[in-house]
Amino acid sequence: MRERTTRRKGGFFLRTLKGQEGDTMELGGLGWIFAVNLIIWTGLFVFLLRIERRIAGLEAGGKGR
Amino acid sequence: MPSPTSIWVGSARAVFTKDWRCELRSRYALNAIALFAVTTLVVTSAALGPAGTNKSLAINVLPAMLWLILLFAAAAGLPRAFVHEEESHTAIALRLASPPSALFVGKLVFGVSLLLGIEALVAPLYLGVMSLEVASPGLLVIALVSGGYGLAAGSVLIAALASQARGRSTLFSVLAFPVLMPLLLLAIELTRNAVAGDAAGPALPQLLLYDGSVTIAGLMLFPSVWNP
Amino acid sequence: MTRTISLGLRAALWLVMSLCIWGAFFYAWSDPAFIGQSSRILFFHVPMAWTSFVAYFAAAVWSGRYLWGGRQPRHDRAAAAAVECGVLFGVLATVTGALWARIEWGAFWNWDPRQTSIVVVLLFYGAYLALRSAMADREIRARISSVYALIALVVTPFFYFIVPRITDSLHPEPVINAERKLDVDPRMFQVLIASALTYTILFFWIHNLRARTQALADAREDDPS
Repeated sequence: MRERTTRRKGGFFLRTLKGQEGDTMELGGLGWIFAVNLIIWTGLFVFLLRIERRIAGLEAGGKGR
Repeated sequence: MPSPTSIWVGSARAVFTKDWRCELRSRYALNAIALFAVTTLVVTSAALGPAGTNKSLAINVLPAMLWLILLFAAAAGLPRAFVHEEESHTAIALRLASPPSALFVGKLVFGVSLLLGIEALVAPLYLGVMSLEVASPGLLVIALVSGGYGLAAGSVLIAALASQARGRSTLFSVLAFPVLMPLLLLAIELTRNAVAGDAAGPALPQLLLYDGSVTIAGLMLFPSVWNP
Repeated sequence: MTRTISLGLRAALWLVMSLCIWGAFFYAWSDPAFIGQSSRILFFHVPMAWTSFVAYFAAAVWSGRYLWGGRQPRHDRAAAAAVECGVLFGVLATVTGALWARIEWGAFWNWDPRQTSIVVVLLFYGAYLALRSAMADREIRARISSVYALIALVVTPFFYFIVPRITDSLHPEPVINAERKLDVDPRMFQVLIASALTYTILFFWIHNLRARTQALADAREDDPS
């Protein structure tokens, strides 16, 4: 694990907004960000699948709730 | 037996004449536009003084303000061209009496003549009150005429759309702003060039292209707006 | 059988998008001309912006089909759904673009041509949706909003000529064109193109769901039994 050489205030997202983030290794590894993105995408994907299943059900005649 | 063309022209002319006759009788739109324009002029002059004497302001700021005044004046007066018809229920008679394209042209020419008339009043006043010297007055006239045409044409077309919906006057502004934005940017640029004495540049052909596009789009789309 | 194919296609979409995300972080290199890893956000921002323009164009096409293709309600539903999905991608594109601009140039907003064009599209989207909400009758709403979508299509190209000239006069220093720099590197180009295509497919899926939902809502309105 790399050590942080400077102490900064605020959370990661806040620092990004302030323009203080962007240094390569400080990001804690691209793997972490990649994993978060993948989780978000998979969550969205599953959500859309469920909506589609629901729509298909309603189209097939399950109109009563 | 009159030809279809002469019937069409007669229709368009009839709409134009009727609108002007009503307008001169009530002077509603004229009053609204003129009052708005003059008020804005007075406020601008009181707030800025003879800003035209400042070269940087004269080129960068004053042309934009002129067109903003004209924009809001147009928004104050032109939507009436169609909203009034809906509200007084004369729209039905118009649908029966005139082919849609003739109606659109009649309204369009009415709107353009109204706006150009207002410009003839406002522009000299603006130049005088703001002490704005224009290096190329010919180019300024071209800017006012071609920009004024686009402003009126776009406004008349959007007015037709907005008249079919509820909440008409606020809706007009919301719909018109993105549509008129390129026109305003082009007209402002052309006016700026006129004030500075620069060449017209690419803004002029683009402005004329805009005018043509909106006119053609209006002619093609208006029948769908007007008739179910 | 068709259910299996359809499920397979969707699984493929999941896979391809995951690959694009992987590519954005590990396959492509971060452009050294930009601060740290920040250029990677472009692998998301650019496809989102591209997709919102696709949605814009699609809405106009469906509007035209409605007006001149027999006034079929499904075309109008498709146009409206395209606008709604376009808003989604457009807002995401604006936010990611502003974040990146903040990191690169210190300011969230510069009115450079790209930022301005996405704002213009969003303005038209907003006006279109406001117009629709002001009309209750389905046929009038479809007709009038279709006309507006087509007017928008006629007018938008003018912004592409005008805006670069204006921003030149406001910002005399050349604005770094991110895409042009990224195009030079083939890996970045590949990830960009792949992402743009994948986001477009995703758009059409979401759009399809939205249009079908509206069709169900309309059907229920017509026949509440």
